Amino acid sequence: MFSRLMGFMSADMAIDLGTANTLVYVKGRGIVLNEPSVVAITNNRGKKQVLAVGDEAKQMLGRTPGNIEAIRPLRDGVIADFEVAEEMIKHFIRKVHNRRSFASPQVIICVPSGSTAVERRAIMDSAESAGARRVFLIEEPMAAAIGAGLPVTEPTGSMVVDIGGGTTEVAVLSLGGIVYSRSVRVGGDKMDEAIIAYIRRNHNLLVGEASAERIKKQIGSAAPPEDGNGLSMEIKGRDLMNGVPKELVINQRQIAESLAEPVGAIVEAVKVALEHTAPELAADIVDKGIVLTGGGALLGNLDLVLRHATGLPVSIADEPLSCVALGTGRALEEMKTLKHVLYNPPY
Amino acid sequence: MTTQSANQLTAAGAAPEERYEGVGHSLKVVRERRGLALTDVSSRLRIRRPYLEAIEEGRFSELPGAVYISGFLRQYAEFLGLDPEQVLKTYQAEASDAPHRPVLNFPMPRPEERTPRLWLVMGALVLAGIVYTLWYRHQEALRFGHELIQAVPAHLADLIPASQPIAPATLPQPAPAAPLTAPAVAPSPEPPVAAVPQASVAPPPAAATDAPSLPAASAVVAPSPAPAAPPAESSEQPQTETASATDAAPAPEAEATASTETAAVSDPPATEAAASATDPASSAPASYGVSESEARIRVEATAPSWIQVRGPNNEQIFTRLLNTGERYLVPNREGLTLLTGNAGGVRIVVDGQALPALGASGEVKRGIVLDPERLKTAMTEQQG
Repeated sequence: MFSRLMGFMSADMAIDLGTANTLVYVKGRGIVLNEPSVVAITNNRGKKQVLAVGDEAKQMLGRTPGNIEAIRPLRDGVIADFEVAEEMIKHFIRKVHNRRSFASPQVIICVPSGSTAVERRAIMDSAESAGARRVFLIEEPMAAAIGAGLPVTEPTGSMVVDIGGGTTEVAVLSLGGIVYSRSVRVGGDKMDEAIIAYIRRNHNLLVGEASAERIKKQIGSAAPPEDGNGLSMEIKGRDLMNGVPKELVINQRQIAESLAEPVGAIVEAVKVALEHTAPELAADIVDKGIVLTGGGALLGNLDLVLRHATGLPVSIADEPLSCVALGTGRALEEMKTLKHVLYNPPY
Repeated sequence: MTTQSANQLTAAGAAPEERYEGVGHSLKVVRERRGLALTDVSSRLRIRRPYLEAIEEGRFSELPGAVYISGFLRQYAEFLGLDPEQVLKTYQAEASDAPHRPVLNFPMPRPEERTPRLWLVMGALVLAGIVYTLWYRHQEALRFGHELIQAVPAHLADLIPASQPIAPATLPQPAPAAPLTAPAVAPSPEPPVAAVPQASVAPPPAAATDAPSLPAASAVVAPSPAPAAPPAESSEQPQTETASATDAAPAPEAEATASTETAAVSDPPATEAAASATDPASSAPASYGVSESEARIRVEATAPSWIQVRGPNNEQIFTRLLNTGERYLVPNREGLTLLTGNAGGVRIVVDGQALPALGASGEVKRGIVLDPERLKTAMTEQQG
């Protein structure tokens, strides 16, 4: 009764605390916030203060003077910097939560299925000290599958591959539960790193993370184009040989080559998951195929590569970037019926 | 090429006819124009042929789910070189009523349901118990009333049949026993009452016809009083004679007093003669209640009348319809009250003195205190 009253007064929210982006879904309002998971902190005579969070902070990334630090508090899908993550969650909750309501909100946060108890605990503690009344956790592949609209509660196997910023989650779901899940710490970040490493190795040019991400989004491809070099774009960075800024043109074939390793890791994870799938579920998956979610699903030709590697139909979900947030949001909206997918250690 | 087919798509989607002309059909048209077989598409996209056929024929419900419909459509459109978003938009316009989000019904464990059901069963049992208890009590109350009425016949079971034609057949068994004890042990109601029906059933006109059978009955019933009774009955003589007849009978002293009482009572009007004529007969056998020696008050019926005697706590002591001539000997207790449905047909006799009629015939009187002293004073007052 009391909790219902509190729920009425507070805006409960679902948070997709991603390595790259944080999305906040508010009950009854949908996704209200989608910002990069970046915090800029200024060091003012030994006293650390938050300077900016989100988009603003992301622009500072790699461009900060000595007293400012732009930090990505999450690495590989889990909290790397506890204090900064807490500040970020607090900021997002405050930004979204109506100041006039007395009650603090209930929060559902999704975590990678491969995260350890310590990592989960860290996320819960962060959210609680950021002002959440109660914190529930949901496993990312389940949230992604619900958000993509997969029939997860049916007695039929569905395979979802969620390629996030830090991790790639491969999971087989049936009857409302995760039958098998595998989390590899390969995602958008690893692709960026691969691009940076490739350009430095082959062109002696050092590009920043933000540039690498831009390259990936514009001409990134998992497989080289069938003929020719495909699209090309100008990239800017610092020449390693003589140390001066330099500009050069890079094409899709080169990027596809650079991304071969992270894409191979993803393909491998999917194959391993398929190997571990029970025959009945495998039969269902042969029929329906794999559904890709997450930002990585937008990488060009990734579905093609997976289709070739697995021989299964590969579909990309509508709005792959917000699938996890939508699924977490649905778990929030339908907390009564979806409580089984929530994870909340009792204490 | 792409724009052209896109235009065609929108046109096809806007004009639905009997034949399926939607997005799937336009995909089929484009595919055929490219000279591609369905198997080619299937092997390239790894989408099963039945699913592709379902898409081309617009049977979207045969696809495994909303997410797969859009996924397959997007792949197919991409493969054909169409704009996937355009195709999807057309599809969404076409199937706007299609469920976008699947309904999630998580399998629920059964035991959770069982708990409330157990409570329901328990509640139902308790309720049933309460209802049964109430019903049982109600029935008990009803049965109590029944027993009150039947207690008298049980007590005098052998007498009731005597008033009925079938009586002779049933009577013989208890009767022999009764006479044996009657004279010596119990000068109580039994022998006198045994004769009641005879007397009451034998009003003057019918007496002649009744006579032959009745003596027989009485003879069987009570050997000891019988020798006296049959002559009385059969002769059907005036009251005095009957009285003397009963007097003459080897009846106990109670009867003797009864007959003297009736003799004393019976001087009033001639109309009462018939009633009083029966009185002796009834006084000999036909009375209820306690023995004559104990009773100071008698309630006599001069006409069929229902009476009820209640005790101090309003409990029913006696309830019966008294036929003409029958009487009730009131036990010597305090606080008894009489209720009668025919005040004109009931006469109260206190210590052998008859009170005036209680009221008009058919009048209901209640709350008459059966206290000998009060009745006497009331009588003297009335007389005075």
